[in-house]
Amino acid sequence: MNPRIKLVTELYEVSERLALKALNAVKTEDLYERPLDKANSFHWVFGHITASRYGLAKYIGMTESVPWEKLYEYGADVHDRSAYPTIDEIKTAFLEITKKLKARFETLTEKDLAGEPPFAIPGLEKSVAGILAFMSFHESYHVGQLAYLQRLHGGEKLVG
Amino acid sequence: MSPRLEYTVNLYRINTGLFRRVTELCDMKDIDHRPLKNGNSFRFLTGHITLYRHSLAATLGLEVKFRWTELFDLGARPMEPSAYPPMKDLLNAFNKVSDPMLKRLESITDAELDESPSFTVDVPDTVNTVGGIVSFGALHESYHIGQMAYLVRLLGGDRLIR
Repeated sequence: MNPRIKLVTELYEVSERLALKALNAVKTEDLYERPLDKANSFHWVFGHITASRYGLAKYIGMTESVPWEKLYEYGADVHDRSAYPTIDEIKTAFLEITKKLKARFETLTEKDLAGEPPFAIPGLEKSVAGILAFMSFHESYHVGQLAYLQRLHGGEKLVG
Repeated sequence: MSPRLEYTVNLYRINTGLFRRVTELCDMKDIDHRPLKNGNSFRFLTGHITLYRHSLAATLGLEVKFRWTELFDLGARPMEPSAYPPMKDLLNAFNKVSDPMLKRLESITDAELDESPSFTVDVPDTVNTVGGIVSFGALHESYHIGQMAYLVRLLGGDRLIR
């Protein structure tokens, strides 16, 4: 693996473990609960993390996709729960893309990493490598929310 | 800067900006609110991130002191609001440690990244070297900033990221 991205790709592995740990801990009846009717549900946040992994796959030259990505886009409208895939479907997709991303991280070349990114992040190098770093931030940010939601519903701490 | 740390340092820069922004979004009257009695308060999360920056700065060899470790450490018991320092003191502590910490990260060598750190974290897939701790620290901050943003939304405030 390119040493420049090694530490950042390790963060994806930590987030993966924490996201799955949160998923394992959350009660089924709490999955769709939106605390105080304002914030995103556990189901939506986990779906958003998964859809974002598919987004990242595209940014680094893969063609993987799931049909429900748009439901979990930033700012997406809230729909009736029947519109969404089940949590098991999302988990399966998460595991599948995670395996493929790990393999792809190993083969990313300097040329791949220097490629034109789909969007620019202020303060980050305008490159595919910069997006790879940003998406690790994005994922940690939302995994923290999964942990918080889990606690709101009376669950144990995710870390510690 | 070690090329290995280039993107991690950028993550700290993103975290620094978003931490400052999210602390502006929270209404001061809500800083001690614990949603559904289970979630950490905004003030606790502010102090917890600031504490971790101090711990990281210390493991990088900087002389720093954080006065309220026991109040904001992992697993600390929630206290009455009067037990906590004012938000402005926490934000000052965060600002004071941040520039030296970022400068130190920019000068760290590959050999230093492979050394044993002065503290470790018990999280699967985390490598307990200075480099591993620095990397995990970026995730740790983003994780809690995500929680702060979530809390602001729960309390009726604006989105952190638009």
